[in-house]
Amino acid sequence: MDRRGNGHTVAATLEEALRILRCDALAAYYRLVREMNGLSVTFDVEGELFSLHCADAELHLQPLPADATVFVQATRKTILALIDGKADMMDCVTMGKLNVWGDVRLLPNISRACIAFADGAIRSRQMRTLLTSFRSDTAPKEAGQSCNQSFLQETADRDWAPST
Amino acid sequence: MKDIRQILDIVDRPHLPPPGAPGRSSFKEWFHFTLTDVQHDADIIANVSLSGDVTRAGMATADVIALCHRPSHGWSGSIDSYEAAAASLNAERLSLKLSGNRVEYVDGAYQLAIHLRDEEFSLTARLVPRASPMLIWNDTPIGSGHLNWLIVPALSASGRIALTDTAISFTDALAYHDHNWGQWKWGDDFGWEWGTLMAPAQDAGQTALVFDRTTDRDGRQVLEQTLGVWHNGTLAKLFTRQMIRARRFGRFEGRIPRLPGPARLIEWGQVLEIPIEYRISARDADDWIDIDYRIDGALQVSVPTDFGFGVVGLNETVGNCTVRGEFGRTAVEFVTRGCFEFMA
Repeated sequence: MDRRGNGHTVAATLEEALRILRCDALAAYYRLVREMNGLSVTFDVEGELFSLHCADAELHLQPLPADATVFVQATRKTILALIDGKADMMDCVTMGKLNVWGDVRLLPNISRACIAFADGAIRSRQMRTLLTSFRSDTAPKEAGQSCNQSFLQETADRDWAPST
Repeated sequence: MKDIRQILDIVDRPHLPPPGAPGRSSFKEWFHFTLTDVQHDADIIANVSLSGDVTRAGMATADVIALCHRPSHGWSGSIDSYEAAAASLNAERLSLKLSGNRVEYVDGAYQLAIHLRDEEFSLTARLVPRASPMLIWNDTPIGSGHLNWLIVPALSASGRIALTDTAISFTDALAYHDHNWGQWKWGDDFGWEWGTLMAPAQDAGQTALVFDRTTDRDGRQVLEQTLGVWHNGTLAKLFTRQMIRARRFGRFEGRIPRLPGPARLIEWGQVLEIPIEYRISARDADDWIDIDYRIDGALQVSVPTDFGFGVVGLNETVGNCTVRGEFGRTAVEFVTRGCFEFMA
């Protein structure tokens, strides 16, 4: 697997996020489980491949299965843009920065699962520490600039402007 | 004015629930400040709050909200969350310390130090009260809970704010402070709108106005509303209930960011409920006030609801106010900056 900085892969970060969610926001965790039940979502984040599988009311990260029901492709930068509120799902999909393949009938479940995850995340204080680690592994600091700079800087807007 | 400052030394203190108090899990208390630096076109909002059962470790949070709006740059700032046990409070007077943040009342002035953890945002300010406070300690019902508040409608602020791209030193900036406490649940059947503004110059007699309205969750049924008018440091007029009409017009179509960022993953799409204009008219015999507030900056602070899933939106706005009126044979007319909040 791709390991950077302090060694936080996207898979390891997601695994830790699920543990935190279960600890800090149990209701959100079980709502996530309910929506994901029976699904196997394969992620490709800049070449790092892993799969999230849900069965028997538990979420497990595992090596790439052969029977993935949903496939998601994104970059770390896109993930952070979504977390930071710089971009929304529709922006990312229409700009080709977030790709989702699967049976269209599963989209409502995926959508509700994402909402449950985010709802639990903003109720959790531990999640912030994890995000800081993920961010430091993702965005190298530029001289004199915090890597978690203002959420509304024009530079960020330019990054997310549709290409012409 | 000296008496006012002595009064605040006593009344503006924490109101933490004692251990075992009923409803302590829905306890909330916050210290809110707005500052307007007309010279540098900067509107600043600073809020330090406690939420939850502060009598038990791990059962409450302490949040620091720090925002700055400049027309040329938009919004800067963020929300920092802490375990409430990290907050150090003095029960007898206002002295709240939380990591590198500090809210104190010392020698007749508020001392504010706000430093965000992950973003270049540092605010230090000394705020001197310029008008008598108003204490509304009547357990105003909001949903199944209640709210109390202390208003200091006009202060003079001096200090410095450092952001990623600039640092601004300000002197005699217009400021407002309120302190709220009570027990309520976000998402319960209540809503509110409130706003504050001050005349920009001494020749307007340091007129300050504070409007508040509580409603049902949809904002359709008005429960209580007041418009307080301070002039030359004292409360000159209080319009209440049927004396007041307030109405929204249009929709603010500028960019409206949400904080924290993941809130945008919970409620998709844009924030649509912020008006472009808000008009308040108050009439009582010969006294009258008209306020026309035009919004030029808006941001939503999303608070997780206490009822299941989802968030409650606290829409913070800044803009220009045109104020005209007459109270107690004193006529006022001025244009200034204002800061209003609309709960969604």
